[in-house]
Amino acid sequence: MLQRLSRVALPPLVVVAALAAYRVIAVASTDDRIAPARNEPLIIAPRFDEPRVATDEQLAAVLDRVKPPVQPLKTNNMVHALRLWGLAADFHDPRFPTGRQMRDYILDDRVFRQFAGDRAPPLFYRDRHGLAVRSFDEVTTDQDTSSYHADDLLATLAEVGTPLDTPLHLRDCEGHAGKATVGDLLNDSLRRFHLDRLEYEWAAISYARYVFPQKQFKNLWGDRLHVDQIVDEAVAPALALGPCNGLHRLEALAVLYRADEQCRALGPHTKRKILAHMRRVSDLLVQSQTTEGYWTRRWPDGTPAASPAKADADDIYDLILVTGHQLEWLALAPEEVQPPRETIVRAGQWLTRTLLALDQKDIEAAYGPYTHAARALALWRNQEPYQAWLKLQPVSVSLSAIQTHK
Amino acid sequence: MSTVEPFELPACVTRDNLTGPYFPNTSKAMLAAVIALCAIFALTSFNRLNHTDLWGHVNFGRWIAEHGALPTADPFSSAPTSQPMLHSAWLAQLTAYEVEHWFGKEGLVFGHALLMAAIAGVLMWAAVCRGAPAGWAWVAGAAMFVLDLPIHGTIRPQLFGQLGAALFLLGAAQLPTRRHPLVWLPIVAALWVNLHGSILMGIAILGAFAVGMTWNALADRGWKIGAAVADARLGRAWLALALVLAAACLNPHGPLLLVRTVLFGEHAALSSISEWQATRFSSLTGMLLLASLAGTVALVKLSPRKWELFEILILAAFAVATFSAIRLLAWWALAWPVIAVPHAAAAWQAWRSGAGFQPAEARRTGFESAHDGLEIRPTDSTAMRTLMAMGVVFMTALLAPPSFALISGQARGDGPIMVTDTPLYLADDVARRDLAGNIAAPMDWADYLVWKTDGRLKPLVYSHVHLTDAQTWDDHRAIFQGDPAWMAKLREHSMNYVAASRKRNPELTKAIMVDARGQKPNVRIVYQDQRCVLAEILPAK
Repeated sequence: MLQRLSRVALPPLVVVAALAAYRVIAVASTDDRIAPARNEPLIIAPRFDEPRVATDEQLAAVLDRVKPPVQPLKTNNMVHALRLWGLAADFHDPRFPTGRQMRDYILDDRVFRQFAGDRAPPLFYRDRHGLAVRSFDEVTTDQDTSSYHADDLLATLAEVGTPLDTPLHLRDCEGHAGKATVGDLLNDSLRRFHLDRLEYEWAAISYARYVFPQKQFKNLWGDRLHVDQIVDEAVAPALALGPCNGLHRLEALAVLYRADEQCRALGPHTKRKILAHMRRVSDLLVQSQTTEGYWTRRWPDGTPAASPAKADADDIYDLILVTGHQLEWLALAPEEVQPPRETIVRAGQWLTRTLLALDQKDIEAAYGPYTHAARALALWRNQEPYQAWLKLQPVSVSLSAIQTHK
Repeated sequence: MSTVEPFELPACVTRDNLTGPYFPNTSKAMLAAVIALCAIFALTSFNRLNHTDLWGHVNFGRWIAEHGALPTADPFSSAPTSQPMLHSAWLAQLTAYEVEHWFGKEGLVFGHALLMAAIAGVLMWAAVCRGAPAGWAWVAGAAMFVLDLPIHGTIRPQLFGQLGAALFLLGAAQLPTRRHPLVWLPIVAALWVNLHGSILMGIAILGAFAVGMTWNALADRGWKIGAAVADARLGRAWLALALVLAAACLNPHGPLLLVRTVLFGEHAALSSISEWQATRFSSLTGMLLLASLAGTVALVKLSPRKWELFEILILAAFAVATFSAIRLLAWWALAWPVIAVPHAAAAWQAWRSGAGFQPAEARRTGFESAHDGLEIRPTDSTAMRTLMAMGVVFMTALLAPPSFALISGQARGDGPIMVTDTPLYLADDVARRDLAGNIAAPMDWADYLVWKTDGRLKPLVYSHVHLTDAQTWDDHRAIFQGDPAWMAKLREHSMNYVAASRKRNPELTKAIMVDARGQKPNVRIVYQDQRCVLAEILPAK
């Protein structure tokens, strides 16, 4: 009886014991949390200083026109303003928020409410997947104070150098639930990322600045996403597809490429793919530039559009949106994909002239694209926008700024 | 002329120190069977969960578990019809829900692989019982796996039906010489009839077997009815059929279920579903059917075994059935190996022996040789092969994703487990926002949306199309084909949301996008990605 029992039971018992031993010895516990290599985001500095794009005076004058508007309050404007002006900005004018206030608008719900009012729903909330950002599509109300693009808040925090251990002050979250950091936001945002998304540009920028040289991460659904796949997502679609005429994709590619120069994460094939894509766009820009220097939304066609006989505000908005974004990514892109410098100078001068000629109300009504244009000019001058603006301010403002800095 | 000394392996190599009274020995045939079963388990486990109607069944399972009763009307549709519910798979639905509840999606994949291995194991046993040498058993399992390729990738209650059919084939193989199938066949029938509505296939198998036995008994007794009736084989066959018929009435509908199952395929909407359409020769199903039919013709010529009436009836019935509807390949894939493998083995042995084909009178029936294949020569079995079999099982457990997940305690996550067409991100967003109300969604997406929202979203149509009335079905098709009256139809059915696939419903997607950007929009887009668009239908102005 014992022999029979042993013959039946022994083999499965041995297999089960071996599998249990395998689990103990060979299976390491894995934490799916994204573990960035550094606390501080990578800084992607401009490469060029081309005075012909805009003189110091022109640059300061343009920047003076795009100081942060707070009325009507839009989170999108705050994000664009913070991105342009940086943390150091202080206009010494109560009408304009400082750089730190703009950053704290995102980080601290108390500051957010000072601007948006107590009735505005918070920017962040917790759902079953962790920290979530209130998005534009979420509800029909309070869209002005919501995030406009997926992960734009995180990417902006990265661009202004916010460390991952910076705390986030959330609303109505007591105890552990109320404690969060930018690192939590990074983790929970990237864990929600998937390749079917329509907007992945800001996630790519955040990933490059915070997580490089880590090559891959796992999302909520268990998919292991490699940075090369994100590059493919940015390269594959039609050129004009995506937010702002598809031009944030080019900026994301430029940031990925530049971040890779600092800490290697991209494969050689992927880097070649990025360069080829940028070079293709660069060639199209040379072909499609108008005699005045700007580009229209039809730049992917590669043929210059006829200048509108009488440009109205909507046309100008589009032209500045496209031309500003194009110059912005080109300022970060490597030398080998640059169009002839003459192309850049013509576009820069057109932007400068047009921004200076625009009605101030029009600028405030569509603030975002204009900040891209102003930022592009500053990048091409290799200058911090706030410092460039400050240089040509009256002495009293400059002194106040210096004292504040001290 | 030199002579070569015979080379002898040293004793330390040939000595079998493993063999002993406390450790089992394994034959080559058994080792081959273990390898085949492990391969089937592993290969099946690489299938992702197909979203087509799986989640519809799991939804019903959850409803049954939560309410402790069977639904009397469709609990998920936005507009339940007067179509009566047919509870032919309630036990499978409940089982699937409980497996998902306790073991997650990995549990479903594991269960799927286990069911396929069990079906293959039973068929292999049945083939041996029908006279195939034990060493050929693995061929039956492999043949089933190949023939079932278009079917077995999808986990659904039909797999339980296939296991039932395999057990019925085993019972039919054992009944001529054994009485115990009379005990367990009714139990299997009672379970089968509650697990899947295909019990008629089992009744057909046993019916064909009883007719075949009657024919054999009459032929053996010189066509004298009185003498044939006294044949024990005959009594067992008909008694088994009667017991199974009685057991098949143990279901929520009683005997009526059998009638309603026959009429099930008459629903107008089913004609639009590919698996209910006739088999095309150019399809994989058609090619597999034709290849196996060609194999059958070859075996008719080459096999020295006698062809039983039972075999002919089963093959003919299931071949005709498969030509009429693609999904019926499931039954052909089970019957063909059990019948063909013993003939193939006989033909092979005849060819190997070089004796040519035996005269007809020397042909043995499968039942007479039923136990030949189980004989295991003492010299054939070794403990080393047992170790090898254990190694194969060990490696399979590590290689197969669901068993590895179980062992490591690390589930893969929804993305790698489910087919890529599952609306994962849409459903997640819908659940995250707690959306509730009526939704028009692609039929195969709707089940998963119901699952993720715990029934708060009620689809216009979902994969249980037989519960939909003809008008709703037509409207659903029109909406998703981009009919100009799409908005009117959505409003007519009181829909709150509409979800469209960019790839499969390009016209509707375009219409939604254009409408949402219009001056007086009827819809507001609440979610979109590269695959889909979800829009809220705004109140009519």
